[in-house]
Amino acid sequence: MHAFYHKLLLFFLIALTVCKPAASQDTAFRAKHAAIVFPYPMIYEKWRSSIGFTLLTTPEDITEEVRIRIPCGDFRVLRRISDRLELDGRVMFQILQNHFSLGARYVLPVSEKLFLSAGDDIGYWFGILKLSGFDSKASGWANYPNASVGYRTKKNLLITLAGQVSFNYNYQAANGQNKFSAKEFYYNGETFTLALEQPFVNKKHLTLAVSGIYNYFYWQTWSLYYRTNRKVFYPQVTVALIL
Amino acid sequence: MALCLIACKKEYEVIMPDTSTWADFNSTQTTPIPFASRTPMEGIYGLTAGASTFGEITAIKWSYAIRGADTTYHLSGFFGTDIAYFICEGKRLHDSLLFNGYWRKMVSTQSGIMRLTINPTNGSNILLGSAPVVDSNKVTIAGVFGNGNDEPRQPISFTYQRKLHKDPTTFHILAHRSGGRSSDLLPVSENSVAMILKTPEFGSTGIEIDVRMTKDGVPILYHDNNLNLRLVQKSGLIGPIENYTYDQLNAFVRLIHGERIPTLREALNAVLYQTPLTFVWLDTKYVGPMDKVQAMQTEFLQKAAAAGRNLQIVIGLPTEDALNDFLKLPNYASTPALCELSLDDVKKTNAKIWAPRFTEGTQNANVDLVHAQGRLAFVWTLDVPGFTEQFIREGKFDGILSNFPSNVAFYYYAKR
Repeated sequence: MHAFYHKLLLFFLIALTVCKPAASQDTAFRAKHAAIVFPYPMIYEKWRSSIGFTLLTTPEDITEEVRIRIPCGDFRVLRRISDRLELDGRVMFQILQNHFSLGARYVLPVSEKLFLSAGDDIGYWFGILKLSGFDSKASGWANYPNASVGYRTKKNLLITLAGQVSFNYNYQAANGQNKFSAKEFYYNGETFTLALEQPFVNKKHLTLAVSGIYNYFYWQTWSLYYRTNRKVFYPQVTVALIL
Repeated sequence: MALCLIACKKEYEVIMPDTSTWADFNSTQTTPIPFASRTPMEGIYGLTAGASTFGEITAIKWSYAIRGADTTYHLSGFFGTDIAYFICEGKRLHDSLLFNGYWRKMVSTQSGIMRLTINPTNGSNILLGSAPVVDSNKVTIAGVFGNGNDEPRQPISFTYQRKLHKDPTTFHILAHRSGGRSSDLLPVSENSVAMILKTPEFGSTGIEIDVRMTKDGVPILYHDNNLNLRLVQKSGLIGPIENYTYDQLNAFVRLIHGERIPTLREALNAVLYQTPLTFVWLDTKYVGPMDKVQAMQTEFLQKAAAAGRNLQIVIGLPTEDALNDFLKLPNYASTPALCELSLDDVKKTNAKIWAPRFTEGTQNANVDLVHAQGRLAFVWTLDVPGFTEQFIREGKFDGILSNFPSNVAFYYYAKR
């Protein structure tokens, strides 16, 4: 199945290179404070950032009656490299476990309303749990090829549909003095996100997103279990204020 | 669209292959494998075909279960790759031994048919002899395996190398919730009699079961606080299981694979009279007097002794509440118990066994302390293969509780 997603990403990359870009940019539209997920080119600014949180529901058939819903802080920053190329950094912090990712994405305006992007991020997560009965820590690396389609409505409501696949590798764990590592590079699953970015208050803009994460292993649940025997569905909500 | 996105949830299952199509195995000329042929076959075998799927070695072990008037013997093979195993029944066809069953990988939903043979040139003549003794390279089990219900065509073969490892003292391979969780996609439900009868095939020598009380004080097996779709089929009943009498549960509730919720008595009867299991860990999931469970523990320990069965039954103390209820028993000090809490609590309750969580490591110093007191030490619930291997190789625990007893069995029996 992951071959399908490779082909999809390849399609996006080819589309991005062969598609004729929009003939003109809307110079009146300042995207700086309006888009972080939406694949809008960074023509007028060097930096964009947002701060917010995500909320995930753990799958009942795996975590059973332990239903954990702890908000995860979410800080994201974009740095312009060129009109269409951006560095994309993200920090998701939950104290006991945290996730960092850094990558690049290529943005292509197809028309004044339609935008595409393709990118790839490298992620690193780690967790530490030293409470009664636990003397555990774990970490791992991941790779996230991704692509998105954005549509800008007449009233500058930005709608983005994004897809991402993940590959995990170099999982390391320790319990007490015992250590374990798995160097295996494996396909972990995919994530689909629907995001809306819109005006909020005082000219600030808001990102609202819902994601469906289908993974064998998700870093936030590292202390509960290792890889599952099939992809598990994690619904996630993201709320962020674009700075 | 957002609702569609978040509502998508695929239901997974593992195919239990149809193993009834092997003509040779179904032949009317087959007979049971002689009792004397089984145990000598047990051992560590090296794979000469199929290693890319299953790994380099396998641990082969027999088990049995009694259902009604029939005793069924199963040959299980435990692999080190992907928590794989196979489970086969065996028959004799003239001078050959046939084994028919299925394989499964617990890290995924992969499964398939497994058909194996030992023919005279590969050692069946040794096994069918009057006093079989198997030496290295003298017995080869060969056959084919497939995927799902596909006709098996991929070759697999393995040759006897050495005996199964055995510690000087008993090592307990304990199956969580009698065999595994619902999420492990096993063909029977957790905490059921069906699972108790199946668990020896997974390499289990003992089980952990979750004990709760119904509204009318009947001890039953059930893990969660509430009736929920993770464990039971849809019925009209919801909420805490303690809100219902046993008759209500028996009439209206079925576990996800259709079984009834068993009483503790039914479960212990099954263990004692229908399996070779030697250990039962009664995990106390209820708050309240323990006298009924203690009485049943005493009753079945006496029955086991009368039947000449080696069987231990311990009351598990996972919480302070359970510990305090246990201490209210008039003769708690002589009641076999397993304590998950601190070493001081183990002394306070005079528990036979200390059982910490695996997340604090092998804790060899503490295990030595416990052994010096004449107690045993178990660890729970160990599922990551890398840690299972380490705990068996470097640890001093007397038992490991796992959702993957086949994995514990592999690393224990393959230990050098």
